[in-house]
Amino acid sequence: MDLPKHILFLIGSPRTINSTSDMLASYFMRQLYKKGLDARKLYLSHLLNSNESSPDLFLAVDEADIVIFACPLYLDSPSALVTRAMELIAKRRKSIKQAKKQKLFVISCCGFPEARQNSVALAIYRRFAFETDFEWLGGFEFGMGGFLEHEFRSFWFMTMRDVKTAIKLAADAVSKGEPVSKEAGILISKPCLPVWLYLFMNKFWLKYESRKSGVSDKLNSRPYQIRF
Amino acid sequence: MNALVLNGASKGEREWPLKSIYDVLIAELMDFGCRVNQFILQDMVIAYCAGCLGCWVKTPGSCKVKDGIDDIVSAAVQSDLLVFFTPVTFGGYSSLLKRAVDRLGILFAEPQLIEMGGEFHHRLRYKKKYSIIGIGVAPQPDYESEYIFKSLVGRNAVNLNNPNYACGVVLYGQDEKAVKEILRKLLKEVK
Repeated sequence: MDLPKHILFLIGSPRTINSTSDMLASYFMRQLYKKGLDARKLYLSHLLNSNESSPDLFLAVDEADIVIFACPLYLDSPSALVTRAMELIAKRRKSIKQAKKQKLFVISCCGFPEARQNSVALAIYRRFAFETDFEWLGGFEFGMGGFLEHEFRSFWFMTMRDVKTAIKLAADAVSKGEPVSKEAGILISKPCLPVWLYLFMNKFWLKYESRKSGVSDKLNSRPYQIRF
Repeated sequence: MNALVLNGASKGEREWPLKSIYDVLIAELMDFGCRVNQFILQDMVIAYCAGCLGCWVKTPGSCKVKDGIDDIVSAAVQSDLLVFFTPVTFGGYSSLLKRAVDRLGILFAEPQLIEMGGEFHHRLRYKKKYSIIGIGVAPQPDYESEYIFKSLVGRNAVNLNNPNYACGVVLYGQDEKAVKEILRKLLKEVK
């Protein structure tokens, strides 16, 4: 069996390097580098714009043995940006015969405490893999993503032992071109904080940011409400 | 009942058959007594959500990017029924529809998380209940794809704090009578 050589990470968050998706993908890449694999990442928001068409995306996907989407959850499913990338890839793969069998893994992140709120999104990614002839290696559902988007995110990530173990297990499987174990999926979906603490930190962040902008008393504004 | 229809079909060659189904949908909504406000998303400029969360902590309820979403949100606030019309795309919505739904969803949400039905969701900014209908169009019957689509519409309904939703998948080229029956059934489910 040919072992994979080129792994491509497609980061679906428009926040790019400041996103949870990027943080998880970067740690994953470091594990792959340790195994001597070539891994690169591309930000979909840089590749696609409102007018799309992206030869860079196509070239990168064609070259990869394994494609890994690391993306945020938007209203229960992949965002419009990620969906557009999938549409373009699918269209291309229908028109051009693939030179090699490629594989797909996904990391879906949400800001809710429950990682399972990513489940419909994972089903959509899996369906994409089926329709475009990627072999499905599995997917991660990650909750409490808001935790890794603010101050001291690197420090907080260092404390997330289960997340790091899960990613190491996934990197091990991916480096062999094998499906990622359920054990890894369970580990990464475990809440990394007690829910009450996550909600408290969420409230704190809201107060802090809204005070900076001078809108702490306007968080519940309804600018589109018609008033009579 | 005020109905907001978001048409997420593109006018490319493959999706053209959707036009006849869409026309039947609009006619059925009007026959049902709805005042219809429709948005053909391909004809609009709607940017991808930038994920900046400015609509939560800088300009609450309002997006810094001023484009077609303003009209959609204004119309949605006055609507009772949201209708999502789309080719079924890997079991989900088309990227065209998703552009509008992503921005609408976050502008409708307040940043605070509250517990509802055993899990956490965002509190809604406009405290009204919406009925939702998701109408997907697919080239052929496919149980898995349809199941994912219905699950997605159901989850969206939960996030919009309204379990009153209906969802159906229509096939390309299905005869008008069959399409009408499906649409009427969906409208009765949310009434």
